[in-house]
Amino acid sequence: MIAIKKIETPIVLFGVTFAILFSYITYSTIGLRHFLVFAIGIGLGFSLYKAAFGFTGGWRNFIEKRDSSALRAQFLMLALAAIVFSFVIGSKSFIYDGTILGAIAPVSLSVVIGSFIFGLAMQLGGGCGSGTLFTAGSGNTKMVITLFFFIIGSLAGTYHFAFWSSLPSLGAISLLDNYTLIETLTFQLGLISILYLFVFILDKKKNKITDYNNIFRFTSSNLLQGPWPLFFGFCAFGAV
Amino acid sequence: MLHAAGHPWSVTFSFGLWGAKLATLIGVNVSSWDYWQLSYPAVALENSLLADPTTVSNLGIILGALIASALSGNFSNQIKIDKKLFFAAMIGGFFMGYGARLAFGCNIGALFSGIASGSIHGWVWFLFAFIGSYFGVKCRKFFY
Repeated sequence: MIAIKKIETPIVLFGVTFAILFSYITYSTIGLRHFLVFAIGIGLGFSLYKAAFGFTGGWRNFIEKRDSSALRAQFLMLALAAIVFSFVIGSKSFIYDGTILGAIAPVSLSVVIGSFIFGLAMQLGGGCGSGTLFTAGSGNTKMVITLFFFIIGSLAGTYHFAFWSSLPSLGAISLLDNYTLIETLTFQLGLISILYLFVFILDKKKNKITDYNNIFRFTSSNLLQGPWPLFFGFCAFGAV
Repeated sequence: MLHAAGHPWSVTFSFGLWGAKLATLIGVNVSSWDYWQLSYPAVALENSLLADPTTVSNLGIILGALIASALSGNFSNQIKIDKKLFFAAMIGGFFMGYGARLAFGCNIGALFSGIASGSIHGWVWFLFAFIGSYFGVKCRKFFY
């Protein structure tokens, strides 16, 4: 059981007022779609914070201590998302007149170099993209600095974009476009399961885990104030 | 999110956009850069920030986390930063931003949304970001 602290009422009120105001502005100037995206964002920020869901710390726990719990939660989340996305991508949106697009990008040398730099930097900065956002939002001053330089770095990246995109590339490879739904899901879920088992076995060898379901468990009975299990965090991801 | 935004969740595109908007404000001609002439970024740069779905979802995430943390009484209760931590945040933040542009996204836009969409670049991203993280963890001792 974790001790519950006092609610910081003025900050809660500030947050809620700002959220209502911003919802109104978004809805009236841009439209329903953006208002919904904003509302989902609030739910996400809330859940990410509660579950302390982050890639950075989770990967580090595995790299340093072979603790695989966060990685396993991420693999479950990926499996769920891969299934949902396979059916939704290419279909019509319920909300506006348009087709839902996948996140398809080229397999190129720039992805190899960029993701390597990103992975290294996220351990120094202390959070990935979403991690930086929610920790900065939760009042962590260091992460506000990280966010500021994240923005500067992104701009610098766009400045050099022409050079990086001239590097060798295999082009975009979409499994769904090249293979059937069944083949795609078999490959994706198969690979995710292998990775899940792999990290689980490494963890078990070193740490002799006996508590297999720790990622699903609540450590506090107070839903509003206590931390949520990792499982909740990945459900929130699933929702998007 | 898929239905409302029309594309899977992403985060870092808006960081570049915010930077570009700021740079434009102080008189830099960002729109002449190759990246900002591509169709999607060009339109986003032209439009109001609120028209960019990534911007609104990011603001939502910040506010949601702010409310959650104040409800738990943790908002004002944070660690102090010293010079070393400041440098870690600065270097980490800058290179995450730079890396994300080269790699077409972060853990969300490339790894999560990419893999879930069945794009091979998501898997490549995962592999190399994990290797990068391995070295990143080793470098942490200089800062933390």
